[in-house]
Amino acid sequence: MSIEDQFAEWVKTEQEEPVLHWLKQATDKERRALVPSIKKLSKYYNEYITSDNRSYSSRGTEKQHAILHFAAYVCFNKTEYLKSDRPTWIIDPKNLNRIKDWYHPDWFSEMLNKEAESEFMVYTLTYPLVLQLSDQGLLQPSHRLWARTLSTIIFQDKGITDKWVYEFKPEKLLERPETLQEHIWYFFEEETELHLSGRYNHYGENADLSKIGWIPAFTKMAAEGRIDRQRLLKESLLASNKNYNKNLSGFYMDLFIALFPTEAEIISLQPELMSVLNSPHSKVVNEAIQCLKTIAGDKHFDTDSLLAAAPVFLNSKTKTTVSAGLMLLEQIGKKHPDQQGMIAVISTQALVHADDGLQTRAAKLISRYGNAADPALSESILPYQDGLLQNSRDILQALLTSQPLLPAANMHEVPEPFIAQERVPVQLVTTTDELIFLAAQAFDNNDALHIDLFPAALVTMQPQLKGELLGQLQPALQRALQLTKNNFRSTEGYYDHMLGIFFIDVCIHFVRKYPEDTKALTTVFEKFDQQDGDTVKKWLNLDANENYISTWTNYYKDPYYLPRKQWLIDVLQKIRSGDTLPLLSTPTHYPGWIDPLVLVERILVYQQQQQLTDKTDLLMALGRVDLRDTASALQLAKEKLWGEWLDLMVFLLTPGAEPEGEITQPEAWITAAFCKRPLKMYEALRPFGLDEFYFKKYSGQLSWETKEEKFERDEYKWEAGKMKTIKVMDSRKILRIDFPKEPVAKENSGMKGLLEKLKFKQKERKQAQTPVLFDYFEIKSEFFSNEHNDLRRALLMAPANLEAFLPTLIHRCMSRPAYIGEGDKKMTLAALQLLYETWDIQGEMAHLLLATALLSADKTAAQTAAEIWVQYAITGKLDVALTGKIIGIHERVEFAPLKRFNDLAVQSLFRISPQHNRLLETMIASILSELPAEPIKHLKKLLELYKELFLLNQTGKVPDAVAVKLKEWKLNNGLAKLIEGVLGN
Amino acid sequence: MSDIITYQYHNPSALLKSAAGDELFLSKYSEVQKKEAPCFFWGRLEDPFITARCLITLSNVVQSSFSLSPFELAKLKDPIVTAGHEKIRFEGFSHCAGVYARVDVLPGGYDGEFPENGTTNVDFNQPMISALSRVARNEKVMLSVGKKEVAISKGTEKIIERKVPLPVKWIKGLTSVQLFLAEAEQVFSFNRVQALQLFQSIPAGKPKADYYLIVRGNKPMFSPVKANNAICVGGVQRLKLIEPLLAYADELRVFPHPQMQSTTWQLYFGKIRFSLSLSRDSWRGFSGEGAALESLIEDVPDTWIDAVDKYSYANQVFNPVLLAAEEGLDLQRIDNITGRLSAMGLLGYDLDENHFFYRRLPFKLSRILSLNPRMKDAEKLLEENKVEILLRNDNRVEAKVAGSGVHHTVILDGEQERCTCTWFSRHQGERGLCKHVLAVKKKLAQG
Repeated sequence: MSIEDQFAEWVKTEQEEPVLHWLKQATDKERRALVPSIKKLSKYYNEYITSDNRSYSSRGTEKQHAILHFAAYVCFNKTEYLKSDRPTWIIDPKNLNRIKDWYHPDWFSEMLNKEAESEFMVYTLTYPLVLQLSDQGLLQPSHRLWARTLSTIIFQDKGITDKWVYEFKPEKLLERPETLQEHIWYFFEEETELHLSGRYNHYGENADLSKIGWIPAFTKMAAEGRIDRQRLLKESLLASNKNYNKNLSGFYMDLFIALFPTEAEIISLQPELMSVLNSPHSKVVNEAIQCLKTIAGDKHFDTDSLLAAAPVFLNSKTKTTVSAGLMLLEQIGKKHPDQQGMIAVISTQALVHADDGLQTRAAKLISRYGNAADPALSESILPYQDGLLQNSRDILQALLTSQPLLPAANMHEVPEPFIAQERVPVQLVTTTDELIFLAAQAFDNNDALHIDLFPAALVTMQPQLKGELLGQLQPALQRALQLTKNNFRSTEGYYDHMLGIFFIDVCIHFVRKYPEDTKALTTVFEKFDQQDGDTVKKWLNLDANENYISTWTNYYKDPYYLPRKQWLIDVLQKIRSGDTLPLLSTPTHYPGWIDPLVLVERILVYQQQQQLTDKTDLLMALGRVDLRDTASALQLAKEKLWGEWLDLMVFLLTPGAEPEGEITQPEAWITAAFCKRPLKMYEALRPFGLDEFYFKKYSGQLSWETKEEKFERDEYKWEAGKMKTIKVMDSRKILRIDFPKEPVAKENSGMKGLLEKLKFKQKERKQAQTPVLFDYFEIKSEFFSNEHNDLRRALLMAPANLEAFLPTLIHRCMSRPAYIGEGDKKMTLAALQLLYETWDIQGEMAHLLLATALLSADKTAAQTAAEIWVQYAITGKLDVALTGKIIGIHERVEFAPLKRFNDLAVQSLFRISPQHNRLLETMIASILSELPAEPIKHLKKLLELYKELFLLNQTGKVPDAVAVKLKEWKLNNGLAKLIEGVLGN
Repeated sequence: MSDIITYQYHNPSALLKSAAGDELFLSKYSEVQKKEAPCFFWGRLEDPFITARCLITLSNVVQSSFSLSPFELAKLKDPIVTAGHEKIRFEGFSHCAGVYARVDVLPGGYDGEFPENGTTNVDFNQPMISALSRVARNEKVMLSVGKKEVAISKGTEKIIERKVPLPVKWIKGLTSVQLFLAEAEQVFSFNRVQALQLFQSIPAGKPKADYYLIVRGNKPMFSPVKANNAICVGGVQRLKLIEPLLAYADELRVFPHPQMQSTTWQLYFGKIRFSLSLSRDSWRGFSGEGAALESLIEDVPDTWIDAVDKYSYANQVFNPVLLAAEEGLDLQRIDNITGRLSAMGLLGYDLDENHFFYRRLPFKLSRILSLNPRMKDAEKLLEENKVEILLRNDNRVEAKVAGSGVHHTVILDGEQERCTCTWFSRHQGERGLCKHVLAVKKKLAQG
């Protein structure tokens, strides 16, 4: 029997000893010769198998794996072994001890040191093992290996009897002298997870966790004089500023503080402390400033270094850091009068913060230490002068330029418009080149309008779509078929999937119509045919009257996808019937508008050719008409159209017009009615089912409230060895939209009841026959996946009446103070982005979305909302008072921390222009009017801003509603002075 | 070629303290060093405080990563230094190759000599960086790139070897970022207060959305909504890397790429400049952008490279026309050479002076040139005869290229190049040419 066969037999029969014996006595050559067998057998025994189709496990037993691991360790070279299935297996005393006396590869140290570099180090690699191997001369541990293994040594498992309970044993550090003399210092050299070490262990019910961990261990060792205290202080300071992560850096600073350094020690560590001031972590910087404060009065204090470092902490984004820094500078100034001038100049840097507290503190320091005659001081204040708040402006009056630059003089009255005022035209596809390259990218969502442009091009370019050109659609078909496997990219949505399916249907049509020209397409179809057992599901096996697009659905069956699906079915039908009349709904300019003149021209073609329009296409077209300038379109309509088309266009395009004439397409009239502004109820449409209920539903103008409500939730508790579910009452803050219920016919008796029922049935039937787009605007998804990539396209079905979609969106994505998932946030952002591009006169729902977004926890959403405010508040189309009122209603129950709004207002809404300042004051006044008598958290900051605006705008009189509130809040000590500053004026 | 590179430093870099003043000794290593050049620069730093802070920031850039897992961070990549022509430039890249940083110490920023000129890796170890953070305003600090005298640390000589996987993305990024810089134009200049205000508007966390730099009145800020002509920055949080320097800077200039494919943020501190270039998004490295591919289509004769190598020295202005005249090279093809030399790691770009400068990356040329997979794929398509030119006239070329399972249509129409492949469809040419277009162009170049 060959050794390969023998080895296979030993593995099979689980004979470990003969294998170890053979490995021990074999020559290098013999060992190498066994390598292929080991690899083959390892693969075989590692394979996962099942006997019951439910549970899976590897084929080999524990013993068989052990034999193979031993053999691999001895016979493989370094590269082979490190790439084998579990190289860390050998790093376990129980395995290693059986072999290390007679086999020790020269790469052993490298393997262990490399393991110490990995993210998750194998748990069997312990400090005692490293010590043992090092003592035996078998291992040259790296500093990192020492540090990582040592980090768990003081936490000891209590043993089998009391499993999972740990003990804190700092005395383990004393077992070997080199531990404290050498190894422990590697903690300060290497980035470890020392701050987390032992943190998740259980130490018994009564354990005092503040006395467990590395900081108590270090302080104990230092107190007992077992470790060099001076070195420990210095190293912990240096480690706190070594570019480690925030928590680890903070840990080293905590250690430094826990050692209670004396003043003398701090003085000797000044260079290190000064360098810590440059740390990116505010906690570390704050602690360093606090330490430096304790020695600021000492004659050995290094003033020069501190002043050099001051710009960094004075510009910190953390308020406490700036504040502590200013206090430190003030203290230094007291002790070193010769430095006061310099301190005043440096302190001007804190004026960059638009925070009244910080500015006032800095301003006081500057005016106290600064010399008004010093030109350097005035010069250093100058760049900040525009941004000074009233308090600091008053304090620094003497230092400001002789002709104070009023903020108004420095700001544009109206900022430059940032959004495109000119209409950006949509390039329609007219050449075959464009069609091929559009087809190739149609499912990438590179442009939200591709879903319109691509089908539109397929319709109008049918005459050219034959011959070689069809073959060139091959890559696009391949991509469409790939999409059916649900391989979504991060920018794709369900619409891309839907469009892909539609294109597959179109290609099937081409294959049938031009079999000779479409062999390239047929090849691709065949490649994607699916084999399921013995049956093959062929893409091309489809009845002539059927299509794939009709079966399309998304997981939650969200209704808002349905109009687009119907539209694609209609377009497919158009292509199948060879109809090349242009679609009505293709946008003419961005983001998705149709020039009314173009729409009239398109309708005219249909009317002249006596062709019917597709219903969904018409409704989408009406929802997209840009009504800003309708004169020429109206003229053309009056000249050329006739009948209901003329009446409909006159109604849509004439401001203030009422529906007139015969109505045979009520859905079109209803859609047109909701795209006109101002919104109103048209009595002429009432017979077609447009009552108060539908008016509310289609306009999106629903009532809402923000409240704190009680609810029941499950809590899980471990009791007597069992997990129990307990119901507990809790409360939550929530934004509830009042979705009205569908009207139900009253149960009247007799003839009246019969008539009521009949009337309702009629209406119901009308609704069922002629739903409008807005009927579909509902989100059902419980969890979002790629919907945020679709929302823009969904909203662009009717940009003229976006608000119809907003109640369901707000309800689903913004009803809680924080977003429940990433999808909710992305949906909100997509809606805000489109509102930014299309904001016109809007109702309360758009303002609700905007105001709620202004309180958003997500900075991007809040900032986008702020941009809408900045852009449209001055046009008068955005109601600032309403926005303020909504925020105020939210804040009555502190739906979201008011701080979010305060910070956003100072950063993004304040001081844009004098006009914006006045609007911001109005908005804040509206917020204040809604707030409760008891001051809510962070009210003070909002009042500070209000006061600043009140003075800046020279308003003179506080609105009555605000005055009432201010008087109530004045009773609060913390606010009294501030309020006097307003009411006093 | 081995994909492991071994850095051998004869001594660790260190801030050596002495009674006469400190010396910042930077240990260097280059695998292409022609001869043992002991020292590239030796002299006094005029503003050691700022220089030290710039070097710390550079080190932070080199250690940062915005798209990779922490495990990847274990790989060491040291910055490189180019000394010569009266300038000292330190360059480095983040691990993800999406952030490029350079510190330029200009004439007047030092008082010293350049015994040799060249480009080299320098050892940036943590103890040295920690020591740098303790350099005070009024300290005197000498800088030496390489050892001036062997005696300095003779007694303690200790070779430090670090074997690391070849930082492929890093080298590729270093080569292609120069082409982005060359196309960038200055749009804004902000004073310190404005710069600080701008940075205050960087949102916390890691926003996934693009941000746009807008200026309202005198106040610059970042906004998440797309604005007319605003500078677009993806992965805006990466800018925070230079935040600690702002408080000391005199000026911040912003240079966006015309198609907003990158932005460069340059801080000025007297005779010291710090520039930070960001790729289009945090998940996109400069390495994958394919900006240099176009210039690699036509082969450039080795004699050209030799000529550049022969006549140039570190930091010297690169003038392709002059080179062509001196070497009698074909002027028509001279446009290509800049891109090609840059792709080979022989050129850097100076935004303020608007010119390329010579600096040879301290890696073997063969390593660098082997790093363009799209070009290799294109060559493979040609070898396998998968490119068929259907039409060729003055302005228009139509070709059919066999892809995986389908035939792609490639049309070159005037300046416009288009392909039906997924890469092109997704990126619309923004990230360099796809392999199909490259293959067609290469076939045309071959005649």
